[in-house]
Amino acid sequence: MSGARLRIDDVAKTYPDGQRALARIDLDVAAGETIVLLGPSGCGKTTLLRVAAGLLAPDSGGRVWYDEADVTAVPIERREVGIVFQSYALFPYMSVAGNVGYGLRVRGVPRAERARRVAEVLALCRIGELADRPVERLSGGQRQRVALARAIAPAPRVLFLDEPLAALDARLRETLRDELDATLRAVGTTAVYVTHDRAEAMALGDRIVVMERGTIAQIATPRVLYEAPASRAVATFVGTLNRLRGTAADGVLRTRAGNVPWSGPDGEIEAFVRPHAVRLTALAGADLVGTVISVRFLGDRTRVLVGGLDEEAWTIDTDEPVDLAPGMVVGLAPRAGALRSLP
Amino acid sequence: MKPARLAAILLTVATVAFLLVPVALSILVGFETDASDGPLGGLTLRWFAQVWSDDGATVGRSLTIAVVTTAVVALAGVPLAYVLATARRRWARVLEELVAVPIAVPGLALALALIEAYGGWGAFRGSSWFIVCGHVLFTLPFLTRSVLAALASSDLETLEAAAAALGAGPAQRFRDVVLPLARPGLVTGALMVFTLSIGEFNLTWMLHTPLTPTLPVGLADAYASLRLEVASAYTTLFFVIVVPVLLVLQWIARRTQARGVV
Repeated sequence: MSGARLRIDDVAKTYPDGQRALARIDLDVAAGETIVLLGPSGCGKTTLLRVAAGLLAPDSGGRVWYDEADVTAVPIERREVGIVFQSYALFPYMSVAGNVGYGLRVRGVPRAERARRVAEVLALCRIGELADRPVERLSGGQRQRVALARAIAPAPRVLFLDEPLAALDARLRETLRDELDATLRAVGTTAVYVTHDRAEAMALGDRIVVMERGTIAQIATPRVLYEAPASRAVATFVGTLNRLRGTAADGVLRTRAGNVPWSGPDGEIEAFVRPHAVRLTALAGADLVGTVISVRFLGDRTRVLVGGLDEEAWTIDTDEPVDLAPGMVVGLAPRAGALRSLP
Repeated sequence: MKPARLAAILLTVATVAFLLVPVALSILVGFETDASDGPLGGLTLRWFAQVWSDDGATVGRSLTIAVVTTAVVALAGVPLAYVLATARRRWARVLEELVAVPIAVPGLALALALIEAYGGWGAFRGSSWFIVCGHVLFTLPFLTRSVLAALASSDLETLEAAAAALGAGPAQRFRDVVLPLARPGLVTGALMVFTLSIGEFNLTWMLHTPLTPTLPVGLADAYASLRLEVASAYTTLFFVIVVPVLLVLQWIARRTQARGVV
């Protein structure tokens, strides 16, 4: 199965109460690509999903294309899409197999072929043994899998997922995220995935669309988004940032905590660096000097809070064992090129 | 046995007796040759025979009216409840209140309005359909409210969206999503409508003609104009016919509710 190319062309959405949820968005999703719409609640990501899927009509002038067909005026039941809702929206009066086979049934697929396809999809989603279970007797994780199976069973041209893991607890969420990723790759259809969880976005997206206040702030691969965010807002949203202010001249940034090599423009500078891109060093010969506020062992890493560099304490993540205590003075060295200014 | 427990049991027995003794007496009087002599004055089935030969037709008429009323109310009430459940505009809330008005309006007033409006249509006025019309008006709110409650307690909007995304058009969505979600409310509501229609007196008394009496109307006539023994026999007949019908319907309703999965 391969999906359709999805194009959003000058789409805006104003609700009847005058609230503007989307402001003239353009987006081009390649066939088979998984794109994640990421942003805080109220940023318009769910509205964009609903417009793209056909649950909402865009303001006049906006167009939605699947491959070479303008589907703006096509009702959702004729668009051949799949949707996984946050609440799953399983039909409570049907069995698991009844739910998963529903899309095939309304399309008039013969019973035998339907049963074969349902079994195939249930197996793909690792829930073959649940086929005859009523959905009211399923756990949250099982419901999520059934919702995904139901959406992909009719081989949709575009699959839409609206916060599909948000209702689950943290540990299950991580397991299902990896499963979901594998299933999406296996199915190979075009997928639009809405979430406010940046880890989910990073793990699943071929590209991530960061949205804020009804507009697109940046479209990029997870790595580019993290390492070269287009704006301070995007940078803060996709991860923790440490700020350093000073005066730059002749390749050196002079700050109240010390001097660091600087490759950016000269003048009054506000620079930023990620927690994992700063090394803790000995005092002697250190670029920057700060005072340890707290040390927290998190299992896979240690998180150290260091004060004295800026008004807000710096967060530093390190994989190496540290022998630090609050009150100690430490040296800090940002990795080469990691310290940068942001628009 | 503790005194408190004993007192509770005695109170219960006394209450039940208080409620059941009149019923038992009423049934007994129907079998007495002469009510003033009591049961010792002799027992007879004469009054039952009289009721059956004079008014037996009311039984069939009442049941038919109840079945037709229930069918009409279900056909009108489910779509109405669906519209009320999905429309968010203010007129929908107003309409929801308006539907309930016939419950508050006295049956006599409702009947008078119907007679003033349609009394001139001779054939209609003289038929059982005129009574059905009144019963539909009076019972529609009960079924509509019941179905509306069932729809409101489900995530109708998202479930419909899910069905639409899977390719179901409006008619298929109504059949596959709205009706199954409405079913518990529909079953409860239909049972209530049937029961109300069988026992309805206020409206029916105004709407019926000498050619179209129902069970409760015949019962009232018997009380008003005939011997006490005949009226009692009539009451007993009413119970004997209506109670089993209602029990069977409730049993069917429970079976339908329990059968969940398709």
